[in-house]
Amino acid sequence: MLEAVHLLLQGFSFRARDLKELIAWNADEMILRGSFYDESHEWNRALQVGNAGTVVKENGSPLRTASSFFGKMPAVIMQPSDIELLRGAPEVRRRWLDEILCFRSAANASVLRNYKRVLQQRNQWLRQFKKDGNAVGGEDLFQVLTGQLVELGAKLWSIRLELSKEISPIITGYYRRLSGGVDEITCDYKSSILREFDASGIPNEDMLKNAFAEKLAGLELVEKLQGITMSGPHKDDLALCASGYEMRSVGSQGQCRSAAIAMRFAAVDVASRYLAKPVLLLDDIFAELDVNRRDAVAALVREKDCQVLIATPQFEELPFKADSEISLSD
Amino acid sequence: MSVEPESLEALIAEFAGLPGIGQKTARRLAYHVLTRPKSDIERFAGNLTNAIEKVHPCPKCHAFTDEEQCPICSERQGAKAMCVVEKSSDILPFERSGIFKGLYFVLGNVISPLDGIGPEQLHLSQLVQRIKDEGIEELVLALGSSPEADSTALMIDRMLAGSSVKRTRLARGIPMGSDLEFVDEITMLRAFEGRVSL
Repeated sequence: MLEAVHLLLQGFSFRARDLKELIAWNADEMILRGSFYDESHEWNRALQVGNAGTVVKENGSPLRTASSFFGKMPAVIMQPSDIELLRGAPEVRRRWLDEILCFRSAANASVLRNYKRVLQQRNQWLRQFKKDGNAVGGEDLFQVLTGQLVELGAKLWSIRLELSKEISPIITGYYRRLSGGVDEITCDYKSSILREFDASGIPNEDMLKNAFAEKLAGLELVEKLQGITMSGPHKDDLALCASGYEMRSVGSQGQCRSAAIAMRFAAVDVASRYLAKPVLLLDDIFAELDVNRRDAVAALVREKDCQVLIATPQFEELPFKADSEISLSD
Repeated sequence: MSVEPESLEALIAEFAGLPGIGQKTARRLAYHVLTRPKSDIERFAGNLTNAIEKVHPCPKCHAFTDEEQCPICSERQGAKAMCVVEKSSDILPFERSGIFKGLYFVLGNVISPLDGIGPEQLHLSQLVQRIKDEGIEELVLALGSSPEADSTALMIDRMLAGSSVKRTRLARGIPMGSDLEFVDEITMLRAFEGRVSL
């Protein structure tokens, strides 16, 4: 149910890569319908996914893709697998950062979307070049695609740097409340293009553009041999450090859980500030927390004053009373 | 066992193959066609065959025409401005507005290595040759706003490196008559980037 709400609000599933994965084993299609309200709007949304394709509607009008749902009423999911935000592959952290980046503005979302599209086109060119020793449009098109990638990549890099700087103290604040400690968590952007910047503060976009262009120029031969773009924002990572040590390798299970929850609350703050108060979806997160952390999360959830949907197998163990209960059975 | 006759199913499949037509609309259209008087349908089929037989891309600009050369290429010889568009139908808004009295060049698509479409498929060499041969002074790139449209514009720009032809692209921004309050963020950003002095 949480996934259905998330899908109708955010336009993508937090679990499945392909919407067809959401169709039940013995069914041909999946249909979701939902109505959402805020003070001034009402959205009646429907999504139909089947073998014939996907149909997306909002207030009766067709939309091109489910991702068109994004950007009106946000949702933030918290789930036990969020520990992957700390322990998992860089892709998980990039996805988290990019989601927040899209909460911040539609222009950011457009940069991200275009960067991914140009990257796909450039990778296809490189794949074909690796296979045939030549590719559509020849060297000229490769240079055009590289130029576009540099332009969009530098923009995306700059947006992510600014964002990671903005959310680092927010994460620290939540982490301290959750762990009851005084540790400072830093959220540093780790670029695959340049490891460190000598100047303090965020370098301007032109500097980033030059650095990215230089990096790709240096990698050109290898990229043509490997058939893939080897550096850029799509290879970057975030380093979550506590007291100077990267939590990914040295953080305890409890520290990592607290940091992951802190990251989700940071997403709630960014969404509330730049877009709208999100719907908070809590997927059985209390079972894995000790009493202190559970109470701290409950207090934060209450403070946020969002609509909250909680999925739990043990209703009586929730640290607060729900306004209404929905029981699901097979 | 299918309830619909095979020939009707085939007709539905043909309609469903058209852009923007789903299975339900295709079925509705097919049933509608069958309820029309036979003479109407024969006229419809005749027009379809006629269009396929007679309409072809103009050898100079690739816009659809039923003459040897399209009327614009024939009547505007000597024009020094050329507008590059993706589809033949993109010419219509220019002509309706009457704002542009130059020549056109229809690419038929935009560059996309993922779809195997490069400069060769878009006749870009022919475009460059035409610019040289006809002494074109301004090339207006009226392509969309997708990354692929940008690749195409940049590729054309690259192929014309060293040439004196002026390259321009259409402005992007707020549509006429629209209220600023309802303009989306990206459109506003483009409009702001393209602001002009009073």
